[in-house]
Amino acid sequence: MRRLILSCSLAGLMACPALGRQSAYQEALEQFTARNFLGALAKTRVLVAEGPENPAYVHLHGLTLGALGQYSQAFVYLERAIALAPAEAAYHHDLGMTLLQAGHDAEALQALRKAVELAPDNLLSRLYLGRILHNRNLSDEAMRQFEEIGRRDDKFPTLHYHMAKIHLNSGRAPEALAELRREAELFPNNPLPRLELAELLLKLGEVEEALQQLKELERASPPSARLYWLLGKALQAVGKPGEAVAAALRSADLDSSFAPAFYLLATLYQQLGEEALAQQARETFQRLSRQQNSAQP
Amino acid sequence: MRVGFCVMLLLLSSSDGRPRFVEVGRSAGLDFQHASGSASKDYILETIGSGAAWLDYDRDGWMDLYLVNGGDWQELKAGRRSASNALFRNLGDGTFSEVTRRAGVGGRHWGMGATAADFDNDGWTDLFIVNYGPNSLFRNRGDGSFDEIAEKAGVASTLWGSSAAFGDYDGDGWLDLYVTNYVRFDHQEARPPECQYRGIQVHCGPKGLTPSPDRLYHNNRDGTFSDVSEASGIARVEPAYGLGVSWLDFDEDGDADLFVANDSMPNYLFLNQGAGRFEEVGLLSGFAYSQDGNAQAGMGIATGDYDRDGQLDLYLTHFSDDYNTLYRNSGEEMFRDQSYPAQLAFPTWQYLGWGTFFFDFDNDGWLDLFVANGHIYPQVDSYQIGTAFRQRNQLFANLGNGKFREVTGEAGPALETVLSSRGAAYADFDNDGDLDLVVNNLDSRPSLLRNEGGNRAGHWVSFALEGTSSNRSAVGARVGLVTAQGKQVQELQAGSSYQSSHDPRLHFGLGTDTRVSELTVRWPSGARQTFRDLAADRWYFLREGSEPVGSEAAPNPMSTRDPER
Repeated sequence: MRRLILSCSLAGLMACPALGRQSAYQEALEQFTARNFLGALAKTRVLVAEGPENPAYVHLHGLTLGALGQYSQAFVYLERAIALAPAEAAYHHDLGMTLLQAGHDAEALQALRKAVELAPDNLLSRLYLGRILHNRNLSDEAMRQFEEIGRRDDKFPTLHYHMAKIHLNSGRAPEALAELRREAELFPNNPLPRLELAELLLKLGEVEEALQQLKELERASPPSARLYWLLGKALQAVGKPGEAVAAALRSADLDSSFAPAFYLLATLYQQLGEEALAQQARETFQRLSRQQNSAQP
Repeated sequence: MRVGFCVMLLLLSSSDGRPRFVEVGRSAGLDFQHASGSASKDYILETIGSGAAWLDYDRDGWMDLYLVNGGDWQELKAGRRSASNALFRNLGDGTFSEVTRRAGVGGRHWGMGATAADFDNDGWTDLFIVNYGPNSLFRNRGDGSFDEIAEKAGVASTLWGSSAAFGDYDGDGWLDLYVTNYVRFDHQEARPPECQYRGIQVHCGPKGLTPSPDRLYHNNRDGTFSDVSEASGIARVEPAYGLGVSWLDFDEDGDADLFVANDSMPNYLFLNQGAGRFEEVGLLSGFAYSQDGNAQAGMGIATGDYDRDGQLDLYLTHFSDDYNTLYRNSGEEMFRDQSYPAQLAFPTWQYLGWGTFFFDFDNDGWLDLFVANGHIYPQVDSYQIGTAFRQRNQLFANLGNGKFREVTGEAGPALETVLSSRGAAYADFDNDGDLDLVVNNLDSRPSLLRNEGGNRAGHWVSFALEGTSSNRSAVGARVGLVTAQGKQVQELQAGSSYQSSHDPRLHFGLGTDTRVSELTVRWPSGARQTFRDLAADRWYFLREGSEPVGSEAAPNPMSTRDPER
């Protein structure tokens, strides 16, 4: 979803490269789009040297630096591009996304706010703005952004998933369930909302439906520790501890640092009377829990 | 005048006949203002107290109330304390009179929790107060006054205590004492509020601060205690941020086990192995973590057989952005997290819970649940983060099928009041056959919520217990009864919820049943007594080894008890 907006939009027309250098710019852009960031960087360096006041060159150079993880330099160029073309919403969006990528959520929030202000119909900016707001637990404002997206395009990818997350964090289970069902219906191939849906169904005691979702996901999506952990929990809930153990073991195999898988394994082995294995799982769980706890600030 | 009173009663009860809670603290004379440092709560000390204890200190048959107070930060630094804990004598007419000064129980230290029981078996209920600073043991002299004897008794620990509970773990007939301690904290060297919560600058802790080890004290039967934390095995565990504590015979082997709710760390279950030894089995029993293996921020503990399967279950309150956890006792020395199936998880997600208890407020025979809520960071009010410093408390009705339904909004406007609540405890303070409750609110007046209509919603029965071979308060006694509707069981505790202590009389709602066909008492001494065919809507006085004495009025212990046992 980290889609970057690269545009020579109407608003930024004045900032578009001169015809003489347009082919060089196009080449740099193609390299960037093809994720050949080093190749793109070689070209954008030249472009910026030749046209330091051209916001499109400066912007693309900043983006390329950001893609290579050279964030401090990237911010210099992305901010300079904005200074050269302050009304270009896409530049604010890209600065916001790069800030987000670099872990500067507070600054990203400001940049995306500006992007949304300049281009209210840019739903991707709104989505990311909503996500940051939600991550910072500004749930009401996040929900307003998501509702705004919904008014413009109710089928916008991941919209209902993000709305569900807000409902879940506010304890509104029925609303979360409805949003997750909608997302799963719209985008059946996206495993994340369906995993969330399955987990919620489990919590709500709708075990059979959860199991069905998880089995479909097992067939159709890449394996993940969380998927098999949930499958293990669902199988335990329907009274199949043997199969649940197999799923929990798969989860632990997929991610040996995933503590919940070992907690589940411990309870399952205990249930099956396999005390030695239960103890082994408990010890692994405790070790992982301590590690994770000590890693927290 | 009479007609007007009846109209008022009708208005107080909901039109559908369900009981409601009415705030009567001010009119009942609870002139008490809790103080806990600065409004901005710059230090963790200012955020976690305080509790309340119900006790009949003068043995007149009416529950008196002890409210713990905090203090002022600047005074603390200067070594002074003008805030005072308060003892309110129940006058028996719905009002209280403050007797703190005469009783000598104001306390000299920043108070946290209180628990009440007769630790010296002299027939008079004593008080133990956990403090920031040395803890206090107030021995009831029987003449309306108390002596502070913590130092002499060997329980004046200077660790920052958070909660305490009396229990007779070795069954010798004398109450022992467990004290949870929170963090190592020195107000003279406390760090300024430079920590972050969701990007908001707030006070620091508990994470990053050193946890304090809890203490177990054995009663020496001579008015003193010995610290047996090491010898008992309690000290073998990693020190944790202890907050809530309850004694309960989890494995039903006749001795008291110990449950400790730890903040941000796994909970502890100390299984009593006999011979004064305990083994920590929190992880093994499923009590240490939530169903997903998460250590939650344990605050308060409620105990009760909510599903009436004869096993006592637990409910723990937690921080916001997490759910309070219902641990169902499977009867195989295992707990199952049933929070989601019981419909208790999602409704508690936004709230930061503290005091909590199971109690049958509508006398239908099923234990309902109360939760006191309130955040620790006043700063959250300046941001829209889906939570608030002042929160409403919550009441959940037990539906009788393993599920609960929140009925906070249906039980009277008093429950909708938003405050930052902490300790909470129940009592039938007006002796009318239904359970009322008190909540100690941070920096505010306490909430005294009188139950209006609970006694009309269902029949009930109440038991006041007195041990003879057992400890005199009968703490640890397990009472089971059978009615046409089924079985119920309760265990008498002294110290539970959060920093608090309930009415020691065991109250059972009976629904439509008008008789108890069988009553069994398992005394802490191991003695068992069975009685048959008891009438409902009565108060019973049960002395170990004697027949129950029933009365339509609450028994006056002065007339029924022998102080020179």
